Amino acid sequence: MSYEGAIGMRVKDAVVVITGASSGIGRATALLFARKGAAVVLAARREEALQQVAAECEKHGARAIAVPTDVTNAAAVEALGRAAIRHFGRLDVWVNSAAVTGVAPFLEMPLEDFRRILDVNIMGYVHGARTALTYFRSQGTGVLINVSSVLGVVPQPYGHAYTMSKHAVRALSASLRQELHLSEARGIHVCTVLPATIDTPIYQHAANYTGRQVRAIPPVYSPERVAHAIVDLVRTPRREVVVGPGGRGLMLQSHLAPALTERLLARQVDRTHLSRKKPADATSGNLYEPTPGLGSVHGGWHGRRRTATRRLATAAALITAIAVLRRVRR
Amino acid sequence: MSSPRKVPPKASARRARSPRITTAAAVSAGWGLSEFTEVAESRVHAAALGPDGAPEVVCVHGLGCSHRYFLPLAQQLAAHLRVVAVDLPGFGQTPGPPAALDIRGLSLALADWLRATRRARVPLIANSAGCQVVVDLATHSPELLGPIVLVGATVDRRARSHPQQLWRLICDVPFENPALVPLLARDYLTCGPRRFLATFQHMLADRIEEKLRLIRVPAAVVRGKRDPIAPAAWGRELAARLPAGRYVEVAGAGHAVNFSSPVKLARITRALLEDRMPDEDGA
Repeated sequence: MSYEGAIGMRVKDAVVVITGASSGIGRATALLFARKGAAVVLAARREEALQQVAAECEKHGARAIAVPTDVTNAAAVEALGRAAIRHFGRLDVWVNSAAVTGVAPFLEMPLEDFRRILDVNIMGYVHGARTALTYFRSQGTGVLINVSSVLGVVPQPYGHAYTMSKHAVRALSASLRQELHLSEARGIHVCTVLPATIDTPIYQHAANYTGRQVRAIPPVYSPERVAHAIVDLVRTPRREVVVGPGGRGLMLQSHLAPALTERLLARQVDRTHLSRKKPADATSGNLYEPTPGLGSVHGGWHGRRRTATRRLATAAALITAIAVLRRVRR
Repeated sequence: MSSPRKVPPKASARRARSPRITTAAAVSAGWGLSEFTEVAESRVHAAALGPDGAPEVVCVHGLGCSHRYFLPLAQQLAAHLRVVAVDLPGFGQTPGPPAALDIRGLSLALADWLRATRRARVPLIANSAGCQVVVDLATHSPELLGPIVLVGATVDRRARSHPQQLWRLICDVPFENPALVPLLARDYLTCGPRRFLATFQHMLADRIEEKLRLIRVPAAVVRGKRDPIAPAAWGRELAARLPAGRYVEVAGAGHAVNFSSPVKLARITRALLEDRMPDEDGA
């Protein structure tokens, strides 16, 4: 299956299932699909948060249903697919984005927390892919989008389970693409999204046994940016898409100098991912119970403001450089 | 477990909760009763034959057909069972929307009707394209499925094109009871050529074989040994893909086994319902 110039489908009137739709990337993606005229099926554990997202989607004139689902329950994920078919008659796009994370020195991470992260982030995606592909194969068309991370390419210390799961998600997508290629299912696409650091509440929701607060590693990008990348993938499917130039730089760096990148990122995580000033109590975060409340797209890491500042700084640097060059030439 | 909580207001869903079911005595020749149910944005007609209170079976017709060609089978089963043959929207006596429904649309309508008439888990006997509709139920309403008899299931994946299917339909004529021809001619005219062709197009787009693994109820794949529309290799493949599937051939029969070999099909159906292994040849 050639992914160069692959033709996807129209976003308007497409039926889209999104897991992890109560917060962060999933929520931003649901809202963007709704704005583009798709019918959205929202899945996450928190019903009240989903109802809120559904109401916001309906404000954009979209049809939306909320289906409370724990993605680790295979039967619940099958029921999620059936709910989509029953209400909207079809299933065109499935976005796997429900994920949890946790940080701890390896030997201090409780084994059951480790297992739970792998269960949500890997088996949750497997359940989603099985349900989606059942319907896609019977229709002959469909786009499955798995949200991985740049940490699915470059590893991170302390977040072993998370980085392992994101590597696994990339592998799952690639393996499915190969299988679809062999069965000549040309209308079915599987894409992986690799976001850099995104301004979502995942850092506040993380399990944490480091004693230090978890923070977003700069540069931070907005979840809306990932949502745009996902909507674009439906129109023109591609194998893998990195969101955020910082992430692209990191990927390039890890290709050119893998050992150096490993060490540099380890240092960076130690210095900026985990706060050196603010302590934190040991917590299993949202691994077993969802964080109460109505959820949100943003995590308060100022992705948009930071992007604007970075752009301004880049522009200023460019202008200065040009001015300096001119003076030197004279 | 999850359940959909927020449902957009839908006329059919509202009506489905309090369906108005009316009956008329024997409006369709040979049948005992006609039943009309206000569901699926239509007034769904079903013909019934058999004793009141007896266990029911539901028959689902194929492309362009109606309840009428199930009469010979119904007469065979009516001693112990109540046979209810439904007309899908746009066919027989059930009005359909202006644009032909696709397989999913038909299966959603069938699901609405099964729920409205409280026929969840009633055994289903389907012929030809009706098999595609019944199998599609598994994608959205598996809780409605009881035992299934798939007779001459379409569309063979090795021949998913108009000319191939048309040729096979012509080849089937000599193996059917001649009385089927005038009966079908009338049904085809009722549904009209435009709906017939559009539905045919939807049938070709539907991949029944990819959905069979969702069917966890016992199912029998039945085909007439002379049926050119559903060949033996295709029938065996379908049975093999079903988690609880059996494969039965009826000697000398063509595509519409329910009309041309009703005695044998009745025997096979009873065997499946009594959870006996239906024998080769339905004997």
